[in-house]
This record gives sequence, structure tokens and C-alpha cells, in this order.
Amino acid sequence: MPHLQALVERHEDEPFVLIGVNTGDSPEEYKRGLETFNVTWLSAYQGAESPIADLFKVEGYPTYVLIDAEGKIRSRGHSGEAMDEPIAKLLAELKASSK
Amino acid sequence: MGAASAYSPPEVPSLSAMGGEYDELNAEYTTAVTAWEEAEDDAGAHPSAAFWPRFAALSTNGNGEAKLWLVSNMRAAKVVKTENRKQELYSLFRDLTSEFNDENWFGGVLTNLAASLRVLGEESTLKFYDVVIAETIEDNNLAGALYFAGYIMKRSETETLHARGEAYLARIEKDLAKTTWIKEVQDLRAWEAVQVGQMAPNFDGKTIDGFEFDLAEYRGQVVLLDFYGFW
Repeated sequence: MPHLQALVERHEDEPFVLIGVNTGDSPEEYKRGLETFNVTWLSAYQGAESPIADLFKVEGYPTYVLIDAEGKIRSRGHSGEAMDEPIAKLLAELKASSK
Repeated sequence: MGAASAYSPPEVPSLSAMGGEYDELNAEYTTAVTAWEEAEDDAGAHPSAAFWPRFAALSTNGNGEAKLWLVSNMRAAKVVKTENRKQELYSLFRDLTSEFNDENWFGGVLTNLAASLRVLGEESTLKFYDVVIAETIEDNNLAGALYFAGYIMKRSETETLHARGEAYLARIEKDLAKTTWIKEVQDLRAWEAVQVGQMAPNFDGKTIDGFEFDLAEYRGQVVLLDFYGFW
């Protein structure tokens, strides 16, 4: 979670958004988790069901899915750190194309 | 032989020829497993180890279901040494895929073969599926072999296999859609639809505070989805 917090702060002024999708926690566990880990970003809560995780065929946790500005999936994986570089690359591409 | 030969009644198949011997042994084994599961802490080793020699003897006599039993219990029984597992599995699957590919219990062979992929290696595994694909006359066994082979090829690191895998899956969709395996193919298609290079499907999300949003609102921005749990 500290890594995600740093990620969000690093790209604060850029067109980047982190969306958490929680699976498997009870409302109590979930609320406690949000506070403990200082989750400030958008986070969807699915409750006992996991329709969004099912839609994306998530096979293990955590799973990261990186989506570009056109809505295309550009990377998938289980390591948050491994997403740093592709995120920076996509943001650079976006910046270059908007000039 | 001659027309004049006396009438002789049709031969009654022996129990073993009917697979009865396997059924009896397996019933005994199932009872032992149930007792083992119900026993408290001191149940000892899993019964598969004690039953191993008897299933192995049946297998040596050419009983296909016994061969399948050995395949599916090899890990649990711990009777075959790790360094010999590959060779054992190889010869069992060779017999099973070439001699029993029309049997109605053959689905278990197809799933166990996929589960042994790491031990056998991709080349041998795909070779065994291809034997089934070439020889079986049962649509369900054919579709199952096409599915697993197609799945393995499409996920293979060898990119030249991807097109062949696609052709295998397409064959199920085109000619074998009435088999139960079509459901597996549909699941695989759903998986493919959310891999790298595909458009992300839209979804509605709701935070625990009741804030509603959907993914499409963030078009134009780079989005990282993080599927997680605090547990």
C-alpha cells in the first residue's frame, strides 16, 4: 500500500487514476483496512460477490490491470512495482500526443 | 466352426473384462478414504499409498481405469520417487491416450494430462493430445483434447503455436458445440477478451460510501485497476 500511495502522489498532476476494486472483505474489515492503509484513492467495494473481478478474469490477488487513455488494456500482472514503468511510459505518450 | 458344430452359449465376459475388478477395488478404496477423512488426528498416511500396489497390478494387466487411478493419485501416494515421476507418467499417458481414447471415463485422462503439463513438458503433453485428436471416435473426448491442447498452445511461450491453438478452439465452436466442452471454450474466450491488447470492458463501481462511478468516465486518462483484499 505505501507503494500505491507513492504512485498516486507521484502522478498527482497528471491524467492518471488509480481505482481499487476490493474483493472478499466484510464491510467492517474493509473500513478498517481503508483507515489502516490510508486509502485515499477511488476504491470500489463489491462485498461478497465479485462481478468486476470476474469480468476481468482475476486469478489471484493482487492483480493489476493497466488501461491506456483509449481504453485498451496495456499490461496485467501481480506486482504493483512492475506497473511503475509502463504507467510512466503511457503518461509520456499521452503528453507527447496532446502537444 | 463348421455349420454342424454344436451350439455353444456366448461366452460370459469375466469380471475383470467388464472392469468389475476395478470397480470392486475402487469401492474398497473409497471406503478407506472416507474412514481416513473421518478419523481424528492419528489417521496416518493417505490410503492411496497402501492401495497403490493393487491398482498397479491391475494397471499392468491392461486395465485402463487403474492406469488413470495411478495417474491421478501419484502425487498423493508418494510411492513413485520424484525423479521417476516423469517416466511413469509418460508411459501411463502413452497407454491411456492410444488405447482408451474412446472410453466414457476418458475425460479424467484429459484433465490429468493438463495437470501434468509441468512434469511432462509441453511437447510430450501436446503429442498425447494429438494422438487422441487423431484417433478417438467419441465427440466428447475429441472436443476435450482439442480444448486442452488449444488452451496450452494459446498460452504457450512459443508464439508459433498460437495460431494452431486458435484453430483447435475454432473447431470445437464450429463442429463440436453440442459437447460439454463448449462451456470451457466460452470461458477461455472471456479470459482472452480481457488480456493485453484488448479493450477493457466497462463496469459500474460503487464505493462503500455509496459514490457511484463507471470506468468509461476516465477515458482520456491512464487508469490502473488494483484488485485487492485486506484479508
